[in-house]
Amino acid sequence: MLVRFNDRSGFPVFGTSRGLPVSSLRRELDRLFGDLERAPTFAALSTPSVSFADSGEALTLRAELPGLSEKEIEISVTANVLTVKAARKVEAPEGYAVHRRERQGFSFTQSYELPARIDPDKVQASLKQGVLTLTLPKAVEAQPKRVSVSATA
Amino acid sequence: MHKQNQEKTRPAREVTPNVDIFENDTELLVVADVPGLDPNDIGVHVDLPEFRIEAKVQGSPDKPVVYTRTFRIDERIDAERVRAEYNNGVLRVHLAKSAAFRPRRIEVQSS
Repeated sequence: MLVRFNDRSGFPVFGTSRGLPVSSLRRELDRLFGDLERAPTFAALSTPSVSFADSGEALTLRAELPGLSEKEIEISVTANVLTVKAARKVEAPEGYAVHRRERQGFSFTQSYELPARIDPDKVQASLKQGVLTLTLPKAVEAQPKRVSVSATA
Repeated sequence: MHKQNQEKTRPAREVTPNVDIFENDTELLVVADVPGLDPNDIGVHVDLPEFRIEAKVQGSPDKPVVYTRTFRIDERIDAERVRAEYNNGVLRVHLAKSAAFRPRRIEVQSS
């Protein structure tokens, strides 16, 4: 079993030597050091991690949304605003006792003002293993244009 | 623990995934948020007294991400009967309890 967790949250199972003060002290120390050993996790999923990139021709958004299916994500775009809406609930499976819950549910609505005009009809979205990738091709007038330098004699 | 003195030269971002841990009569269930992986890149290692989840995100445009999380387990887990599934970026590992540690219902007989 997961030794770290046989602390005061009191597992119903395997509850054996609970009586001795020495063992309870040891349990307590195990618990404290167990917590220290863990690397800190920053801002759990209350706001999913989102990043933007600009490739010149298109903007791309990458958002980590583990545990969501396509139907639970709503995306809307205009020429310069992107709105992403996603929510997840984290529920304990039926018939199981809970030992630890770090995964959080979230309800997330975020609008982004885009740094360039995009073509809303050409936006593509894909969800793969909990990662949402949006490709937002820029509008023709916002595409980079190559200016050739002409040499004058 | 033993990894802390190791020099960190890998340019990867190391992430400790959030997990939920559940238990019923027959198994422990560990659920971890590890988005963006190829199932082939997920390592679930049972090496008593350790149980370790290790996975690397390949081909991400940013710095590669490495997820690691280690737990201590003991002989009450049957190391041969650990199975894992990965769906929508969520990893679920089922750790079956050894037969001797599963609760058993004893029939009371009247004489």
